[in-house]
Amino acid sequence: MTAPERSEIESLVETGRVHRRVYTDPELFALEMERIFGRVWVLVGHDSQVREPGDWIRANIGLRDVVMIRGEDGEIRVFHNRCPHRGMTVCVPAKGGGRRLVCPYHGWAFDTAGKLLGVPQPGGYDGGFDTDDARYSMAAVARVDSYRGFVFASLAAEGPTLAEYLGEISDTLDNFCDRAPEGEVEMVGAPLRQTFEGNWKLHMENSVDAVHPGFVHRSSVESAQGFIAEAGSAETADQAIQMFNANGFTLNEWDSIGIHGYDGGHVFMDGFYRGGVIDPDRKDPVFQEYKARMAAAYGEERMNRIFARETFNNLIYPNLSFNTRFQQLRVIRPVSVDRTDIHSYVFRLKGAPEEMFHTAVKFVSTANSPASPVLADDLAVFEQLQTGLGSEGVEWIDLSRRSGREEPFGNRGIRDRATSELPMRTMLGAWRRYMAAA
Amino acid sequence: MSGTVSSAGGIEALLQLRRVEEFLFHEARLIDERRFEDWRDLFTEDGIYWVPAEPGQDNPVDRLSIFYENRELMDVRIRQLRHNAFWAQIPPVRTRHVIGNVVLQEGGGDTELRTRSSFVMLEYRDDRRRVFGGEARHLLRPNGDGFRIARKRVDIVDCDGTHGFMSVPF
Repeated sequence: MTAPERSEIESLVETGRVHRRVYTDPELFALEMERIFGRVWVLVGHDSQVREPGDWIRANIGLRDVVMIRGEDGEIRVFHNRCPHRGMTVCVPAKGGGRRLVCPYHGWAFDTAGKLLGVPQPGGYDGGFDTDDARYSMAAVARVDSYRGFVFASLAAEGPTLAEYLGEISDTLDNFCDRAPEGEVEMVGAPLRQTFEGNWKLHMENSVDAVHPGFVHRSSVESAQGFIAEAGSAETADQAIQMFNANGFTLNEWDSIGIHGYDGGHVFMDGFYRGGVIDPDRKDPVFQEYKARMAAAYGEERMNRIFARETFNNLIYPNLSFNTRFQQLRVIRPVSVDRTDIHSYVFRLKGAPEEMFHTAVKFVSTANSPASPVLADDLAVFEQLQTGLGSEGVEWIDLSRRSGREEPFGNRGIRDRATSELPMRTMLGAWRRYMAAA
Repeated sequence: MSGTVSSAGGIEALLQLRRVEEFLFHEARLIDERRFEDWRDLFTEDGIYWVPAEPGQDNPVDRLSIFYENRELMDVRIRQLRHNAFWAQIPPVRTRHVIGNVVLQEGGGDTELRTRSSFVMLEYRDDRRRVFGGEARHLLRPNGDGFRIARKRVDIVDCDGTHGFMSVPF
């Protein structure tokens, strides 16, 4: 395959509009795997998934199959999950552990740092087998680094450091962790796994689209409203019903909150949950106990600053979406140009009352289950979007709402009202830059 | 066959097993015929419908679930199933259950019955066919001539697999 010319790629993303090929062209998808997922920092896991030396999990960087392992020296490493001998997948289950990795095919064995320990029949090689030859160790991914326990890897040997790549969006990861009295979170259990027949970018854009809930989520909003009208109160309704109801913001209300973008393609939107068990300042005894523990850990002033950083979805380009208030993390996994998987994880705030974790579990189940009354409508819409974009009758997608009305934010960011299409323009601006760089 | 009521209790136990089977067939038929309100009303006021997301999951509180619904949430789900802008159900799904391997278990006490059964659910929507299957565990309370469901747990065989969206109960 010959990559499209730089000018051709750049012509696909204009100010305020994007060509449908960006979502439908298999060649551009292959190029995204090379120039975006093959170069940037991508999350591979959380250090709480590999607590003990020898613990490992399988993960993906784009379409690449990798394994993240904690070495006996405590260091976390990421390898291509491929035996240097004949290409066999070395780690087959989703997770495992032990002092050695042994290839199922011919028994090549590696230590937890990926170094080859031995092969069968070494006498079959002239001069014996050199187990120290670096070609015969597990191939390490070019760069690995972590931020507050989140482990990222980059397939590119050169490029910005992880800290440089994250830039100012790192403070939302800080907030994710700072909400724990002990300043750390831990990933718990297996993720929920969903799939849809659509391009991965549709999900990322939708996570920060404040105009769609009034249309896409009308059925879950009005069903919750109907229930609440009969029950007489929203405050006593189940947490899930309060969540459905919260999407019923009017467009003026959505305009009262902000949306923010950074030039790396990262985006976050302000929180909009109000009242009851989803209120940022809950009145119930569990939350009061949690606040007391937070105040003891940080002092009132710092605690108030942590809580004031009230966001909803936070996106780290290209494929992470997380919610700091309910300890949710979604990894968007591109499978093909028109197929995407979503893995949704929940975290426990270390040092918080266990009931805070139960609220997070309920949030993540309600918002991420394949049976979610909210997510089902999103996924159904993504599939019909992909169908619509497949039609050659109309070539361009319009993303110009509130274009040019952004204000500066932070050192290198912009902000506007949440009904702006700023987040789509921000992500596609990053897409254009990465894709055009040969 | 030790441990099953049918071997221990003779003809009365067989009749009871038959009554339970009829009830489970009826429950499945209500879903397949989209009589969702009638299905919900089979549940006790404190009834729970739960579909775990991990094999052998022991609770819905500290692990993620596919469905975990009380009567309130069933009510909202059914309102949504009746809504004319429920995009995930336009067109609506068609389902058909087959229920088998029904076993009455000990341990329900005098006032409750525990059952295990297997099921297969065929689903069709918008030119796509899916098959779900697994085991249902019911906690039933006798009610007049029939039963009400205090708890229904459904373990689909691919509970921890990757799924497209789904909207009707199993």
